[in-house]
Amino acid sequence: MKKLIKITTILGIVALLFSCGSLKTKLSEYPELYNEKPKTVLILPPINNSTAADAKDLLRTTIAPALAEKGYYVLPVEPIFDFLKLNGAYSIAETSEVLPLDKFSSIFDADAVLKISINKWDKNYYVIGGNVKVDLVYELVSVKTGKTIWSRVTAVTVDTTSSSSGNLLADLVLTAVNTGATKYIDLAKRAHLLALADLPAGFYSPMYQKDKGQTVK
Amino acid sequence: MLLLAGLMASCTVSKGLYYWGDYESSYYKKVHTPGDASTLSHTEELKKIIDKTEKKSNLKIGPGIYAEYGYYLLQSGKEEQSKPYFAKEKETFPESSTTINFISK
Repeated sequence: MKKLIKITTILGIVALLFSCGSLKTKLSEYPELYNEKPKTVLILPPINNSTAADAKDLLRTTIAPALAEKGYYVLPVEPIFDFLKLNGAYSIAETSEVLPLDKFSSIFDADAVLKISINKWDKNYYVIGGNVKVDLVYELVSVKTGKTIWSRVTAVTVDTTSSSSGNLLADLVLTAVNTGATKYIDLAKRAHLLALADLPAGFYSPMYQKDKGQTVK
Repeated sequence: MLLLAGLMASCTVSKGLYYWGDYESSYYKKVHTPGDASTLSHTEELKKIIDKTEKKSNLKIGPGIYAEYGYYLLQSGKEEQSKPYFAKEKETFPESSTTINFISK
């Protein structure tokens, strides 16, 4: 009898698992991140594959607050970028496949590095303000293993001539589009917010280690 | 019940962890139009953030603000003045120690 109960319980659990088989959680998608628990993140100069020269600066100057708000300790960006420049390594993420992870560990005590690739940053946005097209790839690489422990592709397209795009998040970007340099900065901040939404919470967040069951898109 | 609570928790708008002032726009201006003027105004913005977070107990200083401020002081030859800020970064975020020891030299 006991055995029968055991078997039915197991069957029940299996059925439950299968019924939500399409459900991806943060834990099922990023198990290595939960295992390694990176606390300190070094931001690498973004890789610019787009034609917008300014995109790199926009993302670089807005990423630290965005990532820190997720609960991570973000190593001071400016001193590290200066160090990379001094050592002829400012474009390191662009030019070399193999990152000097041992150096990032010994000099900066970093647990992970964040790589951002800019694949599209529509220039129309600058000139006429018709369309906003941003295509970015974010990758968190473990300094310990060299493996990508979290990644995200973010594509945002907004037609600024229509009143609503039907996409709530895109509309948030749209409302941020106004005059002056702030509109570019707001766009970069929105892109980070979208991209980092699925990143498991870091050590300083109240959600740290409590978001394993949250679903991932 | 638990599920409902979980669902509600995931929907609450989260309040920010830290106070950033105008950090992003002043840092962007420094990078976009490099020079003494933009560096000075970014340094002043960092000082404003520091003063405000030290005055108000409900505002917390974010990672790297003390360190970056100390770094600009050091670059402008104010080594003695930079020391307490590097110390504060290490005190607030102990995991920054290795980096701070390296950049404050």
